[in-house]
Amino acid sequence: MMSAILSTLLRHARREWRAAELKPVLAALLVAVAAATGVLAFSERIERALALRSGELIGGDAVLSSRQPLPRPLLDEALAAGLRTSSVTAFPTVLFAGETSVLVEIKAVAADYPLRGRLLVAPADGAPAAQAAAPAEGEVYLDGRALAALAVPVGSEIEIGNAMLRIAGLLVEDPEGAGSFLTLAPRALVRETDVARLGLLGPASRAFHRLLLAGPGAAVERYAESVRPRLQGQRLTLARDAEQQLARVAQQARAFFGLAALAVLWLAALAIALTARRYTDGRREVVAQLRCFGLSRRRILLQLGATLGLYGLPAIILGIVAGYGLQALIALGVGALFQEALPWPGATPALLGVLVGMLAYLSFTLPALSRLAATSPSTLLRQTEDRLGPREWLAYPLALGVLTIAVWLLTGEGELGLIALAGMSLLAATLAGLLWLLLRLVRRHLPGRSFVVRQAFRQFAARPATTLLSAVSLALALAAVLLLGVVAGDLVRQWRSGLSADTPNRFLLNIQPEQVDLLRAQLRALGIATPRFYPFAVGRLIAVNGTPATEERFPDPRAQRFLDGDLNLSWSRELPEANRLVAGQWWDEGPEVSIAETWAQIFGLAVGDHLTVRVGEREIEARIASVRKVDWDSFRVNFFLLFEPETVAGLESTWVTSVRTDAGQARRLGPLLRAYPNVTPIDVDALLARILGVVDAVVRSLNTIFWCALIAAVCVLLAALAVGVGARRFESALWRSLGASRRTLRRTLWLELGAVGGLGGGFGGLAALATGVALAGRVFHIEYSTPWWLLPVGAALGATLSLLAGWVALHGVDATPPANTLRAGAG
Amino acid sequence: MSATETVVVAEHISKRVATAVGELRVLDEIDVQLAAGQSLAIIGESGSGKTTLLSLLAGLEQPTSGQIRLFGSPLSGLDEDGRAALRLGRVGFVFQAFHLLPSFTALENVAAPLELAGLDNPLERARVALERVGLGQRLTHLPRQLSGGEQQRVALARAFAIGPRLLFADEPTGNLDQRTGERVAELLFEINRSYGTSLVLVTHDPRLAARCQHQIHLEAGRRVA
Repeated sequence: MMSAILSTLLRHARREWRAAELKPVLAALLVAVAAATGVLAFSERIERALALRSGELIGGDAVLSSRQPLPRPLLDEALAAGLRTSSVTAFPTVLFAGETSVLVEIKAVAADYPLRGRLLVAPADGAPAAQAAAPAEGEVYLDGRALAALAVPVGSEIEIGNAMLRIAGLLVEDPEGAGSFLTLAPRALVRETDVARLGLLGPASRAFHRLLLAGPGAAVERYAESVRPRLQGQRLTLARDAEQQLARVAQQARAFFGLAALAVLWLAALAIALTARRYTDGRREVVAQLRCFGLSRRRILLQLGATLGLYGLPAIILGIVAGYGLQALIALGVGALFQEALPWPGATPALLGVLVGMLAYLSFTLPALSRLAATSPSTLLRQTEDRLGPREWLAYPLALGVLTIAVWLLTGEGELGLIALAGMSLLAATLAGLLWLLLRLVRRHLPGRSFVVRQAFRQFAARPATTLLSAVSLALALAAVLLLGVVAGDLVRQWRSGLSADTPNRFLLNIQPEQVDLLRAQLRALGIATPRFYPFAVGRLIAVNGTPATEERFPDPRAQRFLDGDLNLSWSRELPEANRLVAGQWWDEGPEVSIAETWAQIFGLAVGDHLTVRVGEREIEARIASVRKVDWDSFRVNFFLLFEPETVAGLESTWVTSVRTDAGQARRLGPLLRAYPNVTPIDVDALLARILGVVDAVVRSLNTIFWCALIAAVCVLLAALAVGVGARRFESALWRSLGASRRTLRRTLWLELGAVGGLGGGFGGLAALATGVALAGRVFHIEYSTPWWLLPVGAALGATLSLLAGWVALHGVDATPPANTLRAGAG
Repeated sequence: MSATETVVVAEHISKRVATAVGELRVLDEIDVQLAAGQSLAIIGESGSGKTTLLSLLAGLEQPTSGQIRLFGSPLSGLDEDGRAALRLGRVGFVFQAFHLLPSFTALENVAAPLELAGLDNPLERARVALERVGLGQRLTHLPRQLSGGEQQRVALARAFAIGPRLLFADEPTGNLDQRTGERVAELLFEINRSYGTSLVLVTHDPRLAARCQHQIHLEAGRRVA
């Protein structure tokens, strides 16, 4: 019995392969799976690359750090977990070259330092730098500031503690170097074995111990989870959390790729829905006959479902192969922007591709199939029109919603998906409503006197379902394409220019109060935009609302960093740029302090609470007057604590500023700063360049994805037009029998297609624009200048695409001799 | 019957089509002549070539050999558009399967050829034509909302609203019950008489054929009577 049913199903499936309408459904499914897999796989490669880059910034995939030597069990556990480890000890000491001395931060490293990223060392000041291993025993690498301060060339010997070390090179880039700017002093790199040998580190020395860890992502995560609850005074930092700037880039990149995946997937899903409808239209008569013969609705549904399943599975597999090909293609154009080869994607995108593909396939074919299976046998006796039922109208938006939620889960970009979905739904609903009104109006009062114009509008109004379907598909398709091709590109470019145009690339620290005015004038003379100078002092948080601030009271791991370390603080009469008040007032009266929003969250603080800070011997208590939202990735000098100037009057401080210099200014800045030996300049160009490299990669890959989306959009249009191709062929024959010339019919058709395309395209442009504005504000947090030109361009693009697709899909509908078509009947 | 009054003339026309098993002779050496205002019935069994002959005479397709002149113009020298222009405003059709535009109302279906010919007040003329066939109350109905007989009457109204000189009807009562068929036939001959329209009628029905002034009987593509 089972085998009989099975063989019937297989026979049915074999026959169905001959149906011309089945193949476009499978092609659409293949495109959906390929698009989803391709974009997700590429996105994963970029994310992996970014994770590696974050690793480069801290020298490993994770770092354990502490003021005390790290307990042995933590190291053993890391080794047992299969992680590579490398220890680093950092401490301040004074270097001597003859009579000259400089205070530096010594970093004692193991032979395998760093585990991630690279050390760049130059053989002499001004010579090109090359990748180098950790210094050998008896040797030291000094950075430019230390070398300049000591005024000795590479190759000289310097005195550290009781011993002499030879300067083996100029330290240009150190993976750990680009971290927190304000704690950086000139640096020297030595081998850890020398520390013990030379007796550099006494029991009372103030050292900072770090253990770099590297290994497979999952192993690092497991290790982190396992040791975190047992940490006492140690801090564990994962690469992905290490750099705010890079983390933000990674998040933005993920958002862009999520958007791209969503847009392409929607298009492909639309194509599935449209082609499935055409397939079922073509099968109505066969199904009506089968029902006449006595086949039950369930059995028919089973046959149709089995057929689609049988052919859908290979289409999904082919789609995955094509998807991996697609991501390789995208990577080909983008990979060069990364220093190393992009890591290979894993199997996850393939699994997600299958999931998304099946979801799209099922949710977009089932409504049409169920409707087909319910075809009445009386269809054979009486010509009826198959119209979309309320269930179908409801099923499609529902399916689109399910798909969006799926992509949301896949990319972790909830807000992005919801904004895009809301934008698109609003577009579809508004356009459908407006068109419906317009169609009614046109039907009653046909405009124009010429036959072509009147006929085009009548055609437009006579098939409301097809017109709505074409216009809404086109609008959605173009909205997705424009969103990806123009708006997303615009967003990235504006984000990039916001990052590069005036982003400071040099910090100047340790400026003495009496040097501020002169330095400011000299910087201005160099053509450097007048920077703001901030006083800078180091203190310690000792009480919150009069009660001592202890680790027990604030168990948040982020709080410990502020409780056990030095706290950088400043004061200012004006609100600094890249800061925005989110609560309270900017200076009222009395001793006051303004805190960063992050602090308010970490310590559970609000306006009106009191903080006590100790700076040297002095204790300062102040009321929290305001909470600021700080743009930490603005590369500007920012502080968690900003005091009202009167509150801290008389406090000793140095000053700090950040400036933007071009290459020429940077060259002239060097000699200028020689007059200020105490000033420490820090160059963050390298970090900025890395971030911009990633942004560029995102832009370039979006271009490739844009073309994919455009092709998918054209497929959707072709599918939408193909739905009515049979009826059009018949009507063309009828018109010609009545005496219409092919030229007249073509002009009518072009006008009709152009009007539908223009309308849909204009709406698509509007939707892309509105969605872009919402995304800029809510997801990407950037200023966005509204590109109004998208409206006319969308309309023109829509009309052109519609005409092109019409030329391809409807080419030759008027070529068959009318007698043949009329004999065959409608459809 | 003088040549100037002749609306359609066919001389030695043949139609052959290539099939998988070789060439099929659909029509073989047929001659036809029809004067203005006269009626001609083409009769024969299914597959005898009746509809093909009608299509050739109307210029909907081309003969393999032979000459056809419609309103005095030879069709052989004209392309598809040229033949359409020759029909425009002068030829009406009634098909067995009605062939109305499914998305157009009855009124729009009848007005279509009037607008195409650039005539004034197409909707008003269409309304008059529909009232004449008894469908004044069905103006805004779509074809699927009409019965078979009503659809065929809309097709008739569409055919004569333009005041054609020649009307082609392919089994106009073939899809209708006897009573409705008789009503439609009555209307057809009434138009033929009152407008002086020539009529070419393909039919199985000997009684209908007998009402025409001329008959051509086809068997396997050859004229037998």
